[in-house]
Amino acid sequence: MKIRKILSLAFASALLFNIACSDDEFVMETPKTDYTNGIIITNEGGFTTPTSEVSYVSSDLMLLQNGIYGANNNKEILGNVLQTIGFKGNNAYLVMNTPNKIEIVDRYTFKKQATVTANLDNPRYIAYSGNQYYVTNNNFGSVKKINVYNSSDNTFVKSINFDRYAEKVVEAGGNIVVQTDGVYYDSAPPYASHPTGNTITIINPSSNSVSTTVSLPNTGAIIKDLVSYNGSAYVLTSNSTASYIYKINTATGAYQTTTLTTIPQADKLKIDSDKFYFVANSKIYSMNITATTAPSSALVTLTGITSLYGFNVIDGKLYIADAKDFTADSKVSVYNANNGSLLTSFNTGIATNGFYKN
Amino acid sequence: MDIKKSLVLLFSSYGCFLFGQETAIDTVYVFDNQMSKVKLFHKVSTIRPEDAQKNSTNLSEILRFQSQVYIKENGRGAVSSPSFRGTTAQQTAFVWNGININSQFLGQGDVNNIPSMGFDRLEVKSGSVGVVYGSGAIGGTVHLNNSLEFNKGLQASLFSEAASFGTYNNLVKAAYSDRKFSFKLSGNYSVSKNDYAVEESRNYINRNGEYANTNFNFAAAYKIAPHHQVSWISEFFNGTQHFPVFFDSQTKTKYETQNVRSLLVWDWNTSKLNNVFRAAYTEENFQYFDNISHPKSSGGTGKNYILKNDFNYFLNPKWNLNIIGEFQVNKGEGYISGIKNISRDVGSLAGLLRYFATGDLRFEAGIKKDFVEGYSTPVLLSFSGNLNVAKWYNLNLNAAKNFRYPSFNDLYWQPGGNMELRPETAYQFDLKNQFTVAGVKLMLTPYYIRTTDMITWLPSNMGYYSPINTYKVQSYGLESQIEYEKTYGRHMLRANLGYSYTKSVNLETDKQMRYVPLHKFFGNIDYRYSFLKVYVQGMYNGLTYTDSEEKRSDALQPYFVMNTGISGTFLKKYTIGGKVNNIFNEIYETMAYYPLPKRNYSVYLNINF
Repeated sequence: MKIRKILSLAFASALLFNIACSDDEFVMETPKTDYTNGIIITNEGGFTTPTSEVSYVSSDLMLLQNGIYGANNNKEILGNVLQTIGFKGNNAYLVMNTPNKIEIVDRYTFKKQATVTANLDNPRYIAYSGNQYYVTNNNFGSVKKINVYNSSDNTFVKSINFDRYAEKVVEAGGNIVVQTDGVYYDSAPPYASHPTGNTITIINPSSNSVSTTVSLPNTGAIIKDLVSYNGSAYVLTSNSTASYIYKINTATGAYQTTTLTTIPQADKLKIDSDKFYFVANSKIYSMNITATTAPSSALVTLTGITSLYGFNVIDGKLYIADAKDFTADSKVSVYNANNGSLLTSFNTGIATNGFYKN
Repeated sequence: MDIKKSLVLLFSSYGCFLFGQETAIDTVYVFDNQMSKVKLFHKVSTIRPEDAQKNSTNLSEILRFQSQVYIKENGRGAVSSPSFRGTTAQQTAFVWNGININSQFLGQGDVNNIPSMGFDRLEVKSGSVGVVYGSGAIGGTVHLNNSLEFNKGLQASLFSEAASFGTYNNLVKAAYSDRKFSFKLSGNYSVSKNDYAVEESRNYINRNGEYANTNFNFAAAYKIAPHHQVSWISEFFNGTQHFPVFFDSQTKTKYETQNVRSLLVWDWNTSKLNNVFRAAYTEENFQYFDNISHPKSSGGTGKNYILKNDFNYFLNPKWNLNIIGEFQVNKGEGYISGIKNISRDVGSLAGLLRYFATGDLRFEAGIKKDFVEGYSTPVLLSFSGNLNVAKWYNLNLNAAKNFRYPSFNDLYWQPGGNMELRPETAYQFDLKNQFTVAGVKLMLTPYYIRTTDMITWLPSNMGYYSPINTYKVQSYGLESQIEYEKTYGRHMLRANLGYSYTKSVNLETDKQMRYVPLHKFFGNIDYRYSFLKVYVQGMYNGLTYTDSEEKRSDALQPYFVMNTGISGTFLKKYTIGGKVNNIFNEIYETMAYYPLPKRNYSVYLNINF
């Protein structure tokens, strides 16, 4: 080969490399400053990068705005691991797990009102009763507690410690209900999962002390979710053979059981218009809360989803988030909760983990 | 070409190799005996200690401003990882005196916990030398090499620097050598409060960013008999890094690491035969504190016992055979990670055949088979050729197949560790075109790498993360470099400019890999007049995606950072200097949300006794 040929080859390949360039457009959403009549979407963000943010989509699904916390607070970063949002009055409480803080914002303008940090250590979930709010703290190690704060001035009232876990917390029937058991894994492959126990703890908000500890039946199932509906607490547990939904009377601690014998490994329980919605094996099921047997077919069979993360049913619409590889923006899909038809889908932020009615 | 010429070529930077009247060979002993052979077929960039001192903060800075490597750093001095040619940190090997020192747990080198002042020569090489340096050397290698000199008597030096953000770097070195014996020791202590602020970047303050590193290095060599030399080197590193937090309320964390590396070498050289026997011990200890005021929350200890024999024989003046046998025992024990008393035996046998066809044309073919206990590994292959087409044009070709086997964490982490993982396997090709005209050396190297079975940690349906073999990656691009050096009377000018274009695409999504800039430029220009020296260095980094879907609004914007320094040497012994880093106050990040410092300063003193 002649030198000149080799030379031109080298340069030609250099040129070739240089023209292969993508030019996707930078899309700026129409800014909005009134977040009424819509859905607030939490994007958990990375574990080590402070990419937590909040998105808003209008109820008619026509208007989407990502990054509404930064946009309304001088581009301030929210932090890493936005675990959950709670709402009370005109405020939204953004529970920030890794930063050990709660950002309180106006729920309609998202302007920051206050920051709470007192006694927080890996905060997880939040619930409200009267003039107080309750925040679980769980570092999956030594910290397993619920903190009580005064809503009017955000002062810390007290902590209640638990033996093994402090995860989801809801208000139901005037009481504070805490998930006090969860999961642990075997230390050898295939790392089988086991329940740490089967307890749900009920706190009387007038005395801020434990009134009842409910021990659910030991079926080997792990507590997967806890929600509140019409004054009762509902607990979803599941194992590799079946799933169970318990309806708990929070005044007495008594419960009724619905056994889903044909659907193992159910996860993510929500209730809307007297219907249960849950996920199992990439399928979404719905059933009447009064039904006694598991549904025979799925409402939606999910395909092409890498990591199903956020899930909720709000006013007849089913919202699910695919967190993908947890480094790219999540893709949210919205379905009709009655017939399972896909209504729309859009991209939000990193690791979308929740949907809340505003 | 006779055998002496071949040998001189082969051992050109090799000291104890003395035969006949060839006393002109520089009497410098380099611990990594393969380096000189690698240089016959690969472009290796050398960063000398005086160049490294321009970026004395840490190894990240040195590589960022003086090589084509992309360094992702979570704030100055914190967790830092490299990327060569669009590959991952695990596909980059850090090689200390010929021994791969990537963490057995993470599979990668922790750049800021590798001493940036303990070496005599830092060498950076793009592309594979997997046959010689083993698993993981897919994208490139960074070599921390030490050397010993003979017949130099007593030498000592002191370097002491004070810099912005409460930063102090100190290095002392002492060496003694006669005709048969050489000894060297160095000690280095670097400490920084590191509390810099970058208001323009979301009011960033590098809270909890302090670090401190101590390093000791001892080396000795003795020529026990004609043709025989025994050499020894040990290094002890101790590092404490606090990890930056974004909010005062956030729990402050820190990381401590203690590493020991020791190497004993026996060299036996005759005119036809050269045998190097090496016994090495490397140890890594690390502790993570999820709260700086609590006891450690996790950690680990890794120990490697290594025996390696490198046999090199000239069959005749044209044919050279090199056989490298290696046996390692890798032991690992985690604390809280569920990794308990792992012991893995790893053996390998490699053969390299070199053919010196003429003085202007040579070839090398290599094959290597690893034997990893309880694990099947592919065969590594390599082929290189080097041709002086004309006085001003040199052509160098490399093709290789190599792989990275999973790290201890990939295999044994609990829960999640996956014993079913296949190694990441790569095929690569590059072609270096080197032009030398009027003292200007221009190198253009297009390359291509295709990697399959990338190991990625993803959430499993059990609720925990687990590594699996996923997508394929295709990387291609161009590395280019211009070198120029000219001495004229009392003037000296030296320039080294590099530009690289890197397209690295996940073949499943067709998107550019995260944290791989398409364009990177770096340049260093030194000028000396008599006792005065000045330098400028600059680095441009193009748009860099931080997510896996090429999202423009989250990408790191392009930046250009420039540093400069001046020094004066008095009485041939005392050098006083000052540096200004980031003179244009560029706001820049190499890792999203972690800006690096704005303009900052340092003054230093260097004494040669």
